Amino acid sequence: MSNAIELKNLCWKAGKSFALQDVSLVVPSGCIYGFLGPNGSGKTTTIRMFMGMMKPDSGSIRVLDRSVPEGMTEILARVGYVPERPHVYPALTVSEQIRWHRSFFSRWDDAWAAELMGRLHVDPDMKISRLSKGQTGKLLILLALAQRPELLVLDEPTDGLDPVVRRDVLTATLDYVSETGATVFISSHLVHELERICDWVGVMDHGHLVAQLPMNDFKNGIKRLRVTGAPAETADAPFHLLSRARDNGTGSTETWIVRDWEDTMRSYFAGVGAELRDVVDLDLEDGFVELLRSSRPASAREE
Amino acid sequence: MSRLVCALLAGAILLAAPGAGAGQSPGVPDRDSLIRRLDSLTVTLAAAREAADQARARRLREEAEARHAVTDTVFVGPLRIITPSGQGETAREIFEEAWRDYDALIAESPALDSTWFVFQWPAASDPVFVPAGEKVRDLSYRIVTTPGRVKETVRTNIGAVLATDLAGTTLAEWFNQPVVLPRKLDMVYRTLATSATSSVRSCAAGTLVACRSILGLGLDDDPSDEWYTAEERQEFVTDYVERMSEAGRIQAVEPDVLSCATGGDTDACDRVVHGWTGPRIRPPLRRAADSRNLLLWIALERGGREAWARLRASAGMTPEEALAFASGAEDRALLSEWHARITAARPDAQAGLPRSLAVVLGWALAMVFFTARSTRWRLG
Amino acid sequence: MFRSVLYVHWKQVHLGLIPLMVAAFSLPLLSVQGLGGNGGVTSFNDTSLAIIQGLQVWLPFFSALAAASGVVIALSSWNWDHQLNHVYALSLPVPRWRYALMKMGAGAVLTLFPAVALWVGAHLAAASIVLPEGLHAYPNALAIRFLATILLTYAILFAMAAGTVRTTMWVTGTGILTLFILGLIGNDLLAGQFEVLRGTHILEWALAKLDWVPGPLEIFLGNWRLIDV
Repeated sequence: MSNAIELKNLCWKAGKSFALQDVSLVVPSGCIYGFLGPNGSGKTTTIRMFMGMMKPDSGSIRVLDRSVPEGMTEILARVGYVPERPHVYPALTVSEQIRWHRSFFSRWDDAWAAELMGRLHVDPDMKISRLSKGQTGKLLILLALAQRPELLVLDEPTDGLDPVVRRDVLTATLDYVSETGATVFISSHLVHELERICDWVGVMDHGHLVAQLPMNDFKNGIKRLRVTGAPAETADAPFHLLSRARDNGTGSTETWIVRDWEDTMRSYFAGVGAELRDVVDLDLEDGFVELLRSSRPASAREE
Repeated sequence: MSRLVCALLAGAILLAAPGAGAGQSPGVPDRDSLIRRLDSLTVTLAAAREAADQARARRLREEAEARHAVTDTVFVGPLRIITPSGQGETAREIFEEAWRDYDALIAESPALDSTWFVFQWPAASDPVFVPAGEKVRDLSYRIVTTPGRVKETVRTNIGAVLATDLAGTTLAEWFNQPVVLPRKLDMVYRTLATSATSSVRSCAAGTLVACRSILGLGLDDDPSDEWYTAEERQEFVTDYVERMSEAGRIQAVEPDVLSCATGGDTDACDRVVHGWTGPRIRPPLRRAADSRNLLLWIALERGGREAWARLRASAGMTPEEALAFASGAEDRALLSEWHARITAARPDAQAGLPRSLAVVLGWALAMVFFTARSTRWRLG
Repeated sequence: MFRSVLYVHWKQVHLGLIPLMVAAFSLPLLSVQGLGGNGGVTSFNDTSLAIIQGLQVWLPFFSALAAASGVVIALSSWNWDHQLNHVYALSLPVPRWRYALMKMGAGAVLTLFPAVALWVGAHLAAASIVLPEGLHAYPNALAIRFLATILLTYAILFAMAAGTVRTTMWVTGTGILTLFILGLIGNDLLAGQFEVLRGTHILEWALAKLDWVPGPLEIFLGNWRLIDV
């Protein structure tokens, strides 16, 4: 299976405040890839890099088997893009905006566009500057879907939308994906939203790609353990210890957050003279938070 | 200042003197010694005063020398220019450029030789030194202006001084303006070609006799027949009657004039116009200054550097004789060249348009090139 | 695709362009108001020269209007994309150079609108007065000159706006600052301090350099008369 997006060792620096550092990311074709990260972590910058809008300082980019920026025109013809902020011309009406947009995309599907317009309740005669945030969001997803893309790049597509519109947008996207098998790259800081739909997840923080793994591994691999008589040294542990903290008023009992956990690893504790008292599953959001906490240096964590 | 210093010095010495301000007491110097001391101080004070006076004299001398130094004299051809020190180079550059027009034509000009031009740009706060009893032409620019205007004014002033060389000649009466090479010949052409008077338009079309006439050359006492057609003469009179009527002075208009204006009596019109002399018959060529200047300039060019001297010696000659005498050419040849130069300056609404379009196209294509280089890497 | 670009550009600019078209149509008509003869060949009021001199007053307005039209069309062409930080434009599947050239072409088509308005107005103006002998009307030449001036102004500003905001700011800022310094400080301060600058009016010198032939300002200096000999 080929990859829809491949970023290798991407670096980019903006002054002293922010930098993308050695980001290597792979999005398999046909998957729904959730791109998680707090605000300012570098998600939009990474997207703009592989959309050919920003030039990386170093590293290589391939999208849909073509290099960026050399094959950008062919790539963009096959990519539906919903950027972080609405990017439509406010003085046009919805139908004028659609006419303008369709003139650039040879694979534009009029019937599908009309159907989406009906399903999403978008008024074609409405001036864009008068659309609500939700209606604008619907129009953007309509524009991205009606061009029948092989890759959908959605940068915070549901940010600020009410739950009904959010569901409409996601449903339309998933319907399209299930019909065509297109790849979706969706960036968000709303973790629970991605939990239900994504196959893969990548986590960005401070310009680093902290983790990239299948959603199942992510959801099942991060656990909270309660350990009594825990050893000071855990270098030989078969799992990856993200954090440990002594429980208040419970003597020698500690809470550990671990990654890459499997049940067979319980025997490790008996071997080091400790007792595993409890294994708790974390949901995606808790796991995400713990992952970020563990990836940051101690000084940043204290902030 | 120096006096104050001396007074302070003397006071300080007095105050510092032992016992000063104290009452008479045992051990205090007696009266005689005080008088001797006072005498010595008087001598010191006199010496200080003398030193102060010398210092003041030196300062005044230096100021006078400095004032003298603010004035500079620049020579450009026969032109003598007085200018504040520090503006010499500016004055030289401007006068040299202005004189360039005349340099090849004027060998000697008594008027220029006897005139001092005072040039200040910007005008200095101290007046420049001007030799007493000399003719002076003041060219001081206190207002903000541009070099173009300054040069034009300098040129006009040189021309005005030059023109005074011709005083007493018939040519001076005919000419009566600064001698300046006219630069806007397209406007001269427009004036000729668009005139309401057929004789002027005829000149524009190339009839040299008409040109001679409208320039005021070779005219007899009553040039009205040469200048105006019968129809124009009648309109001339009608125009006059209308103006008199507007002024409420229609009663003062003679019967012949009325019958010309209202009845179309051609004979009456001729009688009226021929009866008018001098300023009542307006020359048909308006704004003739540049036209006449051009003719004079051509005569000077043809005659060489001695032409100006011959013009000055043309007292008693008619203007056309003077021009022919100075140039060594017949007035017909002068007029022919005059007409050719004006015709060459004929403005053409479409002239240069193809070239301008080509230039615009070139620039537009250059901009297309720059636009096409607009980069994809727009953000970040 | 080009039609879409043209349509969107028209939507962007029409509120600014329509008043300019009205002005372009009216200007020739206004300029000949009160001029012209009664048909008589000879009038001692020198009708012809009066027409030429009467038009003289209006000449700067023609070039100024052309320049204003060019400015409005150029600035409007990138306005929306600048507002959207070019994200949308860059997400369209056309090479950047082609997108920029399509926009430029659309603007070039729009320059015809005020030029045609002026052409119609100029013909009506020429027909509305009786021209004395020796004078001719040049509505076509005037309209062509007008169009070329709009096109030139438009092309220069469009190219500047097509660059990044930073580049545009640098170029225009430096130009304005230079003129400002030369104009304000030029002679009063600099020439007062430096002997070498005496007698050279720096702003005049700079402007003289700007209209060097074949400089971009040459078209502005041509004959803008609707009526001439």
